[in-house]
Amino acid sequence: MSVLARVLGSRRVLVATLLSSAAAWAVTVALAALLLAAAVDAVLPIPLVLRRVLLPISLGAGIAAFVACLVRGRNVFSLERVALYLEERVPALEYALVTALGTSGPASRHLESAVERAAPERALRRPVLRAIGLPVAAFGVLLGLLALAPIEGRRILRPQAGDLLLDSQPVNPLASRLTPIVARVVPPSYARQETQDLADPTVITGLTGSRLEIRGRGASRGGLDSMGARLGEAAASLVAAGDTWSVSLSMPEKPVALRLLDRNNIRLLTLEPVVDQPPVVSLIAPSRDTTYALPRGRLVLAGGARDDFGLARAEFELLRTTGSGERFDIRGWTLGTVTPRGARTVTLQSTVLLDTLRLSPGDVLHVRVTARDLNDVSGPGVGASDTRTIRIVDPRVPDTVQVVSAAVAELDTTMLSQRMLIIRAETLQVRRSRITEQAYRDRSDLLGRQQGQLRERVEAIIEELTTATDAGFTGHTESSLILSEAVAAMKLARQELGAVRVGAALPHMYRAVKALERVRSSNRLYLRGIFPKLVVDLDKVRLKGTDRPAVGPRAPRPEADDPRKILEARLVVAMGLLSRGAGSALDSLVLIRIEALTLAADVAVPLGKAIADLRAGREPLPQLRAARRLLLRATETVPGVPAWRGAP
Amino acid sequence: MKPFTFATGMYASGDWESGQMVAAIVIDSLARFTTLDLAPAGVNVALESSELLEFPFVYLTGHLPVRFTAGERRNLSRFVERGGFVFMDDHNHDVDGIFHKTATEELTHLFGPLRPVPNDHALYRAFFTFEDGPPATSHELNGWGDNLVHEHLLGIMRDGRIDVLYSNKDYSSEWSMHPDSKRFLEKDPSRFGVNIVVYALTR
Repeated sequence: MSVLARVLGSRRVLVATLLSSAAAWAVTVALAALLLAAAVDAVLPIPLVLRRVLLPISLGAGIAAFVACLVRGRNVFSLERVALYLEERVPALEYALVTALGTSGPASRHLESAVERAAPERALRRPVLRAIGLPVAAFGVLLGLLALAPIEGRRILRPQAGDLLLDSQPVNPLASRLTPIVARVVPPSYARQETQDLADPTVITGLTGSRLEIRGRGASRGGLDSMGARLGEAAASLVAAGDTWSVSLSMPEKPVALRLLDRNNIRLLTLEPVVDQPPVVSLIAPSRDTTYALPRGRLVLAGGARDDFGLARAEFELLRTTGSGERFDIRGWTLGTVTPRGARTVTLQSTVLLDTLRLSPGDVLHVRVTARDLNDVSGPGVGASDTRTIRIVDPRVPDTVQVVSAAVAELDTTMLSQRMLIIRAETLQVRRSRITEQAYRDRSDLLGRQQGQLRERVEAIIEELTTATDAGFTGHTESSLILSEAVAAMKLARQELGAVRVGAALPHMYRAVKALERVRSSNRLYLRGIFPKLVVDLDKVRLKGTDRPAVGPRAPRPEADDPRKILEARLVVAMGLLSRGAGSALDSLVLIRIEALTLAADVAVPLGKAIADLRAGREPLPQLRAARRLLLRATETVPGVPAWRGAP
Repeated sequence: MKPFTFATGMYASGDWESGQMVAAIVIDSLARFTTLDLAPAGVNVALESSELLEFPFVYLTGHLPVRFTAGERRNLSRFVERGGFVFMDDHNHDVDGIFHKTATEELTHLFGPLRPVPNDHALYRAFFTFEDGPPATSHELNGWGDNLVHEHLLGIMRDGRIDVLYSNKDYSSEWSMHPDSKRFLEKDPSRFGVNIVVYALTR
């Protein structure tokens, strides 16, 4: 064997040793870190959040140890260093190895025989054994220690909320069995959510219908006779299995307090349901109510639906009503059905040939989209879009949508005019540098006057809509209110154009056209609409009735209880309890918050923060004052709504 | 303070105007039996109009499907929340009719399930006394529509007070006559209308 081959062979052995040793130290260090955590946990239970990061931290420490070992032993990768190492271990070599490696070409016979006599590979056995044996031995010792603390080991290696109950600490027989507790929330299967384990929760949140299991220890100490559970006003039963007690419930539809009782101890948990919302459904086409002269042609239908957990079915629903007066025939169809199998959003498209529906003059076709969600626990939630009505004109019946349809036609031309004005204003702005200042002024002024005329036309439409009482309207409709927005924007645009500020006028003009578009798409045609106005001659008939009533004097209706005032009064009492200590006020605040979740959701937020502050030993008063301010806020007033007389 | 004005609600989907005489005949009866300060004619108000909130009482009827728009739903909900009273009458008097199905679906969606109004409810003693609950209509007695005499009216009640009164009895047909025609009748047919309005204004 040549000198080079011997050194190469030794290097391979040393590299393998280094890698093995580094790996063994890495595992040992990681285990040592976990064991240290388990020891601490045995004395002072480590919170779940921290335990969840202990394993990654330990792995990180192990990797760091591995890298450190490699860095420390990096010399094994160099042939010269390996040769020097062997020379140091075998003095009999007398630098024959180093000299042979330093010689270019094959080594002399004298050197090779000197190396062969010394057999330097043998010197590697002990250091190799020591390098590997030490970490392996340490690993074995640590493993043995871990076996002595199996519960803590499990809590560190597989941290779960439920392992809070695995604490091996001896339990004081007089201590409350309501601490610690573990809650498991199993959502309904349709929601496809994961089971959640909560350690010592104060609030349990889950989908309505979720299965809840609350577990604690100490069932074998005194049995369950002295324990109890109440969900709101209803009793819930506890069961025991070994030393563990548990209560199983279903997440209710409304927030409620769960009271756990153990002798004189009470523990309050807030059950906060998350309600599965019904699907949100929209009908995109047809975009508005329409009147057809003839029942012919294609009707394009488009819609969409979305749900928070998943859709089961969505479809178009068509309803045809034929007839008049007291005799109507109604027929319905569904089409374009989609079964999304749990998808959260879906779009629908279909086409109807009106000729095939056998529509007659005077018929009305109602179109909408309906969707059902997957909720098989408290549902299914059903959502429906707005309905569009498509009417077929009956020439024999004096159709009475003229007022509204006239307004719609006027609206269409107004919108076109507004768009034209915008194009002209934009062009003027672009050409400003190419025309004289006077020409620019003149054109801006002209646009301003045209904008003013257009505003007057929209005002006339509003007037028509709000005063055409013969057609059944009274007062402002949603459309007329949006039109008022357009008028306001047009007025500002007119002012800017008059002041030769075309650039400043444009944003107002854009707003005006957008408002007109909104009205056009939301415009409603009220069926028929002519309503003979019968005026009763009150003076002629006043108190001429011969039938006698059987009523005595009336007392005014008592003022209805204002839940916010009641909550505020309770909050003041709870705030008073703070002076006796946090514990006295805490339960009251929790109960007030549960009611606030239903009656005054805005107040629940600062109350929740106040409760958290109280539990953390912080000052809760700022949040409590904020909650009280919200409860005391003045009743909302609607401008323009007059008072009306009550008792006759 | 404004006089009481009988408001008929306009909704986009159906024949909201089918009870054309109801406003006049109820106003006439209110004038005949009460001292209530009255507007001599009813008004029609779009359910999606904010002016709905100017009236304490709104009457809805029809034969056709009732499918409220989002604006109508929002406004009607506000109306009831603010103490307004809704009287909805099925002009079909047909328990499986499309008006009943769709109207009750809409009301349930907005306010929760409709429940029978007990026949000893204060509504039946609010002015005249109706010992047996809601008076039957000639359409019911003649076997028209669903051939049933509906025993109860339905309602959405809050703290015992009716917010929404729903009728299958077709008072809209029963009261579909010119007020002058009452003189040919032994009893005023719209006396129950007086009870409904007086109840709405006093409870």
